[in-house]
Amino acid sequence: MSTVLQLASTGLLQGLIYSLIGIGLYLVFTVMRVVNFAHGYFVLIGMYGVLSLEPKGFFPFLGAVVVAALGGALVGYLVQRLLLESGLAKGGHSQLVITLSLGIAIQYLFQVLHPEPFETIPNPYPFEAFTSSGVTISAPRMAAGVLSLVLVLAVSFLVYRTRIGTIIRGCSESLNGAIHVGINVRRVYRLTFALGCGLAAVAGGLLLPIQPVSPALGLELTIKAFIVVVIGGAGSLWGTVAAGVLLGLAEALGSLYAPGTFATALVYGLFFLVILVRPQGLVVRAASRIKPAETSTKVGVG
Amino acid sequence: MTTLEIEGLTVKRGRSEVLHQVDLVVREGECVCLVGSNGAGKTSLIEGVLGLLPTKAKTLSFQGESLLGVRPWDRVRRGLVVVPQNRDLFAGMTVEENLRLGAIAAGDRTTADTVLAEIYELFPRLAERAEQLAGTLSGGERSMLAIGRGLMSRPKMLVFDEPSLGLAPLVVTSIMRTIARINERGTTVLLVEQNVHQAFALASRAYVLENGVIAGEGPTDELADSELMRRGYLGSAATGGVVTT
Ligand SMILES: Nc1ncnc2c1ncn2[C@@H]1O[C@H](COP(=O)(O)OP(=O)(O)O)[C@@H](O)[C@H]1O
Ligand SMILES: [Mg+2]
Repeated sequence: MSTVLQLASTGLLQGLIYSLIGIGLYLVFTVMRVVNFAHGYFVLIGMYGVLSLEPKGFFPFLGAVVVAALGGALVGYLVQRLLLESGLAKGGHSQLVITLSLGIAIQYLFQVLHPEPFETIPNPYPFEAFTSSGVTISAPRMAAGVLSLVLVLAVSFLVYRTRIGTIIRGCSESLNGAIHVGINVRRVYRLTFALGCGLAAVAGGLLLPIQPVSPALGLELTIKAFIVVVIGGAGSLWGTVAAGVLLGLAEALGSLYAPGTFATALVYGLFFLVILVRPQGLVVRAASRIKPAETSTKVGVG
Repeated sequence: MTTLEIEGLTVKRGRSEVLHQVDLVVREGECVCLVGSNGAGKTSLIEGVLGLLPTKAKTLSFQGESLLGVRPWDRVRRGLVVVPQNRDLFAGMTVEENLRLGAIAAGDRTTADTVLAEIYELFPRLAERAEQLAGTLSGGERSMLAIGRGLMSRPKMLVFDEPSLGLAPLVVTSIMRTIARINERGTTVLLVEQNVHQAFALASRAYVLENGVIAGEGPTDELADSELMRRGYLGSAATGGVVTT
């Protein structure tokens, strides 16, 4: 029983990190209709960012996470501004090609900069672990989960309770409607892409003390973020958050019944099944069904 | 003073040119209508003026200032607001959220509550449905919401793209009466319609668009009697009633 509890706790905390990574992808997708295939690589930027800053101690580590997040956001902003805007205006598959190539470029860059795999940093937190009713959680894992939850709540506050959030939701509801009320949609797109990439980078920074980083991790994280958004129904921030937790739990509990890598395969199989049975995702916002199909983007935001 | 001045406007949709060398002027305080059958290019004209479609023009100015090179949302912020044909509402947001987003172009946040009250007075139905999602409204209510949203920034000029489209005759009459009121209160209006009868009753001057070119223009009372309106598309396309003399 305590094994199950142990795995469930670890899975839940890991899942919250997936939720954080997932809402970054979700925001970019729902607002801009762009599927960012480089999303997982922005998590890498956060991980390598913190790694290269070599923080010693708690506050330097937090500082490094913030710096890495801002770095990820800045790279995202520039990618949107310099690469995607022109592609978005033209439509077609350009955004797919651009984000996919970008991800591969980031991977090779890190392969050159950090040829040795599985790099990590020692526990930066001022305590080692928490133990309660037979469950032991290491400090970095606990902190990463809790901070991810805090950030998820902060993002939901931003999106649903602030003026800029209303503007962002307006752009996601109707691009043309947003233009008709005078919203500078180009600026909103840049900020949204920067925010999405920044969230991925933050998650990476928090993840580093738990999970050693290798350049190849980017693809896996991109796929996990996809799973989370798709299972979440792509129509609701909370669906995405729930799906992240679900993925974390499934991964952890899967290892109960199957050894290591096979458990991972099992989890992906399970999600594949969910998508086959419920292609609309597990959580679907009521309004997204009655929403008439958005007509093709009339204006180049480039 | 001229509010909107268009000279030699050419608009493209994809590769094809759908509007050729159009001239059109709307003076301050006027209510002008633009009529034309389905596919004539009315919506393309509006989208060209707003900068949503690629255009070429000798002159395209609003309140004496050129709009060429100005981004669509900045044209809106200058006071040129369109109530689009397909409404483009924020379907998953409430009526009130839709209206409040309409105030963005005004920049000044303090007046939003005052204007909101005015709009609820103009459309009591919207006040009743303030918390309802825009996507669940009826056709008439959606049209009202689109107009209300357009009014939120207190625009200098409102362009209505077929506000009567798909609405029951009684609702059309009520919407038209509201447009007249909006114009009487000082907002310059360009009313784009297929429904010639209703549009001519409201507007003082009219332009007739046919296959992307202006086929005629003039005061509505003169134009209604003209040869153009008698032959032309009126016989085939007047859906809301034939113009009688
Ligand atoms: N999305 C589009 N792509 C290409 N051509 C279009 C599109 N929409 C309309 N058209 C064409 O442009 C012309 C003008 O259309 P439109 O401006 O919508 O006319 P109206 O508003 O007067 O009905 C028509 O010939 C129509 O077939
Ligand atoms: Mg039209």
